[in-house]
Amino acid sequence: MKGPGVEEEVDFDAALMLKAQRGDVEAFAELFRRHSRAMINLAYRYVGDRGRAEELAQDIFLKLHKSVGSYTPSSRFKTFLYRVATNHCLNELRRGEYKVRPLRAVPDGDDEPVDPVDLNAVRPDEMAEARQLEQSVAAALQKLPERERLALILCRFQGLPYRDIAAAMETTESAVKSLIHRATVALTDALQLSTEARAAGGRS
Amino acid sequence: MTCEQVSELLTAHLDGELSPAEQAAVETHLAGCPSCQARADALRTAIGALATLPALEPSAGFEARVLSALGKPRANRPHWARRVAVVVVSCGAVAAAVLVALPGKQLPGSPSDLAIAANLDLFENYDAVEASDALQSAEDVEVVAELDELMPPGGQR
Repeated sequence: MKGPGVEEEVDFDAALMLKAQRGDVEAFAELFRRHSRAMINLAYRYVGDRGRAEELAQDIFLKLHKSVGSYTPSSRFKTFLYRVATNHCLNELRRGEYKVRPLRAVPDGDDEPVDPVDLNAVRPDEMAEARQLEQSVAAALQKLPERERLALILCRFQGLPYRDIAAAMETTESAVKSLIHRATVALTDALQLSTEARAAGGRS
Repeated sequence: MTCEQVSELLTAHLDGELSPAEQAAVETHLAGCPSCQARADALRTAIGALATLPALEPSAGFEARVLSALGKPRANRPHWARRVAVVVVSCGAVAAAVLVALPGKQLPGSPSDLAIAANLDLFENYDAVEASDALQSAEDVEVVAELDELMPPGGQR
C-alpha cells in the first residue's frame, strides 16, 4: 500500500544514521537532538514519573547507539527508533527496574525535567484543571496493560498512524486497532469517572 | 451494522483509520443511533483532552549527560544495569552454562540446550548475549569484581 511518494521520501534521519554508522559522532548527536524530546515524552507517559523518564530515554539512546550497525537504509529511521524504544519499554517494565526503583532522594533543579503543567500555566483555575487532568491521565495510563498503554501512547502522544505502531510493536494493524480501542475506551471511562467524582466532591 | 459492531470501530473511526467502506457504514449508523453517537462524542472528548496535555521538556543537563554516556557507555551504565548483571551472575551455574554455551555448537538435547531452554526468559529480557560479551571488556570485569559488594548482606553466594 506504500505509494511512490513514501518510497522516495528523503529520510534526513536515515542519512544521519548512515553517517553515525561510519563513526560520525556529531551525526548521532544530531539524531539525539532531533528525537530526545519525543523519547522523553514517550518514556514519561509510559512510566508516569519524570525522573525515571529521562533514565529510560537515555537508555533508549544508548541502545540505539549500540544498534547503529544493524540499521539498513531500507527501513525508515523512525520505524527503527520506535522499535528500539518499544522493545526497551516492554522489557524494562517486565524487568521491573524502573518501577521498583526508589525516587532519587534529593532532586536538584537542573536534573529534574520541567513540569509540563507549570510551563503552560495560564490562570490558577486553569492550572488546577490541567493538573487534575494530568494526574487522572497518568493514573489511568498506569492501570492499562503494558501493550495497550504503549500503543495508546504511540497513537495519542506521539501521533503515529496505526501502520507505524504495528511496525514498531512488531504486530498487525488489526491487533493495534484493538489495543488502541481498548485503551481509549478505558481512558475515556476513567476520565469521565474522575470528572464526575470531582463534580460530586465540589457539590458536597 | 449493529451497535456492537459499531462500538468496536468507533476509536478507529475517530482516528481516521477505517477503510472508506467501513467509515461510511459507521457514519450511517451513527446518524440514526443516538446512543452510539453519544459514545462517539465521549471518546472524541477524551481524545481531545489528551491532546491538550503539554509535553515534558528535558532537563537542562539531559543532553550533556546522554552524549557523554555515549562516549563511554560501559562506564556510565546506570546502576540498574549492574543490578541486572548481579541477577544474571547470581543465577550461578545455570547462567554460567548459558553464557559458556553461546559461542559453541550445541547438540540437540545437550545440557547446554536445556539450560538455554530453561532460561529463554533470561535471553529475551536480560540480553544474556550482551552480558557474555560484556565480560570481555576490562570495565565489566571490574563490574563482576564488584558484584560481591553489590550483593545485599546475607544474599546468596
